[in-house]
Amino acid sequence: MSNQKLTKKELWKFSMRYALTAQACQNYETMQSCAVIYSMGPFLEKIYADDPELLKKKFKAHFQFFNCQTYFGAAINAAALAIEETKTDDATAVAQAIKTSLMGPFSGIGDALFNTMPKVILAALSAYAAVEGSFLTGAILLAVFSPLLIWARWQIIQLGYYQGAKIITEHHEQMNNIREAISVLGIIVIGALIATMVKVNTPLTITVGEAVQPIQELLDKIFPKLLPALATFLVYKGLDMKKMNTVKMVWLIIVVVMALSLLKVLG
Amino acid sequence: MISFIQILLIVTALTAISYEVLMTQQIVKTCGDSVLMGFLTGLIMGDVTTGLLIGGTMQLMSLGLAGYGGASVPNYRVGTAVGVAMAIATNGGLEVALVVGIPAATLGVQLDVLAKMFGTVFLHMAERAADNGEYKKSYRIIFWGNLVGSRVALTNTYPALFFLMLGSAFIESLLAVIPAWFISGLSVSGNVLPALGMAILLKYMPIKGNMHYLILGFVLSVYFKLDILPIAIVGGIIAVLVYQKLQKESSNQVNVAGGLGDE
Repeated sequence: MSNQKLTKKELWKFSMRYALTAQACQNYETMQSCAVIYSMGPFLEKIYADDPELLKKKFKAHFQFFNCQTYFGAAINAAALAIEETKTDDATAVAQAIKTSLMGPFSGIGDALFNTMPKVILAALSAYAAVEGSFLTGAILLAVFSPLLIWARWQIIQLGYYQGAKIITEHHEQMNNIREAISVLGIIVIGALIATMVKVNTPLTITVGEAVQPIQELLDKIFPKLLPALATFLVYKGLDMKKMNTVKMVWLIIVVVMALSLLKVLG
Repeated sequence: MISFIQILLIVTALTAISYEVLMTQQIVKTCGDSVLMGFLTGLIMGDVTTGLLIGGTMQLMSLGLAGYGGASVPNYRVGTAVGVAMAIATNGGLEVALVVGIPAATLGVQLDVLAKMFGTVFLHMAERAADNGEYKKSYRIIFWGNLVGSRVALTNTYPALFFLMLGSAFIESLLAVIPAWFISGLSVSGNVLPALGMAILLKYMPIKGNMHYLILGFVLSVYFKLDILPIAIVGGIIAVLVYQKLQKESSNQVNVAGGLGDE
């Protein structure tokens, strides 16, 4: 495809309009379609200025269901816009097919790369420093990684628009590999976070003859942080229970821990 | 006491952060929305350390909570904003923050459902405008409808305003009737709750086949006594090695397939 009509500056405008409304008026009916219309609309108006009836149909079509991680969502819609610019008869059908077939897989990759990972690694580092009373780490992370995210998002959108959906599909494997590798980093950090951020101690003691031995002291010698690891494991398994969700789990943890602390098992 | 100006500032900061988290999604996530919220609320209330402690704790509880596929999750930003303000105003520390913060955060789920129902209303208004060829009006409905009736406003601005308006006096009288064991039990819970954040994260991770990496991180911290940052650096190096290995494997696979692309 070589008939793209948008300049870099116009594509940037598209990208900003998408960012501003990425999850605007999100609803159960069409999820993020408002962002699609808000970003693509002005360009559709230009492309189909000569055919008002067709333009209306285009709007109707793009008001349909769309839901994707927002960076890839913008890129996929940029690709869809490039297809609309060809003004072929089946442009909208092709654009819609691309949107519906790509939004699922790229939500997975996008969430892992741009939602989960920043949270696991960056936000966790920042939270760790915050609990110790410093915002410096958070400020540095923000200064370094926000420009990186903005840059990455812009690259993805340009790929989507200039190369069409073709290239996004071709790089699928490489992106999966990146995701896989960063997951390893994330898992290592979580392992360390369980040891540092989850705090479970027991005031229980065992009496051997005359000597009173606090169990916590014994644990600290043999297997420090055994209790936090255990607690995390139990919560992890507990999330699999029927009808369990994260909100219920918050309250369940509070009730159980409170009962155990009342019984002087935890403290 | 929390002054009206302070309430206004906190709610404004919360609205701006929430908008960034829900829409542009490129800045706040790098330092954690609750951490930033705790920092700013602490700044407004004049006690940054407490703000950071509570914001950091809430962030750890919320790790891994993201609205995947449009799911509704507790809103710890609101929990932080309200919790920090009340904790500093009543001098109550983390316990008070949890007493008011957690209900405020979990209320976020119900409100989120409500907000998405409201979203439908604006969607239909915007659709109708576009049907009539009034495209500019359609954009306006999307933009402004989003600002006043969306998840940003309904799940963040309005509930925070409500809780903060209730005031610290209300919270203090509430605390007066709550028994001491309850408060201390809550503070123990506050230490255990980050386990939930970790557990949810693990649910989203390809933990099968990667269990040894989890143990590695744990061991580096517990037995080698390394800080999080050096552990993250070690993890980064291992991630590069894993990526190189995977890339090699995928290119091998393409070769085995006989270079289909060339024909």
